[in-house]
Amino acid sequence: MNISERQKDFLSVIEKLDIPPTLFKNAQSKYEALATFLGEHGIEATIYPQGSFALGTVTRPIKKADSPSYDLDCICQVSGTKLEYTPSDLRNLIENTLKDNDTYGGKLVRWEECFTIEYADVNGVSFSIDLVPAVSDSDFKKATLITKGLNPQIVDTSIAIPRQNSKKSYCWISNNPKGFKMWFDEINAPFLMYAQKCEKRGIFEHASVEDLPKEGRHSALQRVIQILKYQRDTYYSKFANGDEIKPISALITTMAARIASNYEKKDCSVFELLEYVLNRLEMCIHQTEMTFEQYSFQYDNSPVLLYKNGKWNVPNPADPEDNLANKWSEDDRIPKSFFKWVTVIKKDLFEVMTQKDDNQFGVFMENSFSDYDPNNPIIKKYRKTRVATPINASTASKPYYCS
Amino acid sequence: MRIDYNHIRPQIDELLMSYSDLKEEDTENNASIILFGRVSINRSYNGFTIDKKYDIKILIPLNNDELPDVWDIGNHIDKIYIHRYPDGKLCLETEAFIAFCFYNGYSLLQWMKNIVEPYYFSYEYYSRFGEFPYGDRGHNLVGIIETYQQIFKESDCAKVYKLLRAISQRKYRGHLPCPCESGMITRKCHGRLIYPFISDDYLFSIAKRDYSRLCEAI
Repeated sequence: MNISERQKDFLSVIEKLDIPPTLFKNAQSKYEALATFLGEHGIEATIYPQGSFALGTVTRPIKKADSPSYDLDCICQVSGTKLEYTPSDLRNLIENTLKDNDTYGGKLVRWEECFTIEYADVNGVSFSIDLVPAVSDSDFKKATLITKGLNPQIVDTSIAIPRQNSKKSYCWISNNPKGFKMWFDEINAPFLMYAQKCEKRGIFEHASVEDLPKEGRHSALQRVIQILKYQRDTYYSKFANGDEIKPISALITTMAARIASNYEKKDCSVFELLEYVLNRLEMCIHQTEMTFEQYSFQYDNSPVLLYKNGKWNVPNPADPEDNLANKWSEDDRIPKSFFKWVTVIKKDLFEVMTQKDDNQFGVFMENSFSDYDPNNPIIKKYRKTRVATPINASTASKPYYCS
Repeated sequence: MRIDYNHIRPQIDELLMSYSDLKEEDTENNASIILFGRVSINRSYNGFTIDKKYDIKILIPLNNDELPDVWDIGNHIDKIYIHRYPDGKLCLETEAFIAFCFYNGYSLLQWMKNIVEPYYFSYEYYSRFGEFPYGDRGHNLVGIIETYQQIFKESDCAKVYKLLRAISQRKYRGHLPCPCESGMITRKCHGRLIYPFISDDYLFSIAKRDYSRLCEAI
């Protein structure tokens, strides 16, 4: 049993699931072309990635694992502020311009908050761009955010997005993906610097580091977020209503980054940081068992996942009015399953990883990754030729309890 | 179900062959056969796999109306788990369900593969996800009614009750209206599903007892 070899093997599976750099470049050229097209039709707009695409924490979707399809979220920010448009006008402007065009019209799918443009497969990997129309937020809204203590530099990039509030009517909602990225990049910078230093020294064994674009490099923090997202997707896929109760990516990213910002060792390994993050998340449950004062004294005086007056709260770092855990207080299945999940993956990653039995580690790998990459040789390395016999639910016993 | 030694011997040998770490207890006792040792369970369902070893004891009663039982002698199952008796005996399934499986030709090996192994899998799955992968039986009578609902392929509890009442009278008339009162003749309705409980002494005794308990509760 060699723990560092197992950790390396685990990370190599994650690395293999990364978005291919060619696809990344291809997507980039596609959204740049889209911005040029809009410009040629009189719409001055900048298109930029948001969410995991912008933060370097993209994970392969669990569905269609054989022919992965990545959904890349982009903001299409039209020049001007929300005072110059109605939300419906902004949507119509983008939609009408795209749908009349031969290149984009046929690929366009209309959703409540965005338009999806499907692109053809590249080497068996397909992707689509979710385009969210936006304009800059009003100066009044920005000034309000600054009074709430937010960094003016972050506030400056705040945008307004049309959201459907009835069948035909739209309202504005605030968002700030650029501000979020700025906040995240600042926390990630020292971790990324260390990762780059390691790459230069050849500690990581990329096949061709020179070819790896900037976006392809991952810090320990980015890897931790990806691992949490993969583990979440696998775990919650077992529930009939998993999508309703799973912790959203923005929440995982925010909590992991906030915890990492307090971690002093920036030259840490992925697993060191992961253990620290999971320990901090796991302890948050104790807030429900005592007063906040007791919790602060015993555990942590600024938990990333705050529980006060029966409500869970994780403020969006780019908009304190936006509680990323707003659904948690309405549906207690969400916190309940979340803390169970944290305990389970902690056990998997730090107990099973260190168990003597290679096969148990193989089972963990199989449970983690067989939905994404069933033929990965790393799984076979640990599982050898052992194949589990499937259970037929229609004939399987259901445990009984007779008092 | 009366297990006769000569009838069960080949099935025990088959079981011992499949689970090589399972041993037969050396005993003069003619009332039962006891097997004990480590069994390896490598099963999957819904994209989740377990591959673990469990220390168990199996008691196979001879020449009386009882079913085989299993004890968790390795204490792998949490003591507060609701489907485990305090002495470690596993609440595998309802008697009616297991007896019906044996009636349909289950060998001890099939009992192990389709009843005991899924029990352990279900426990591991529940521990991890907080949900039973293919459900669990309700407490007491609820679980019993659910079993007959499954066997009779009948979701209506009232109809299940009527079918059990008809079984308890031990009369089968295929050409007469079905006891469920669907209006169809029994042969074309629940006939095939209730017939085993009328024709087989052991299944009949279980169904009759379950029906009496149901009547008492009502």
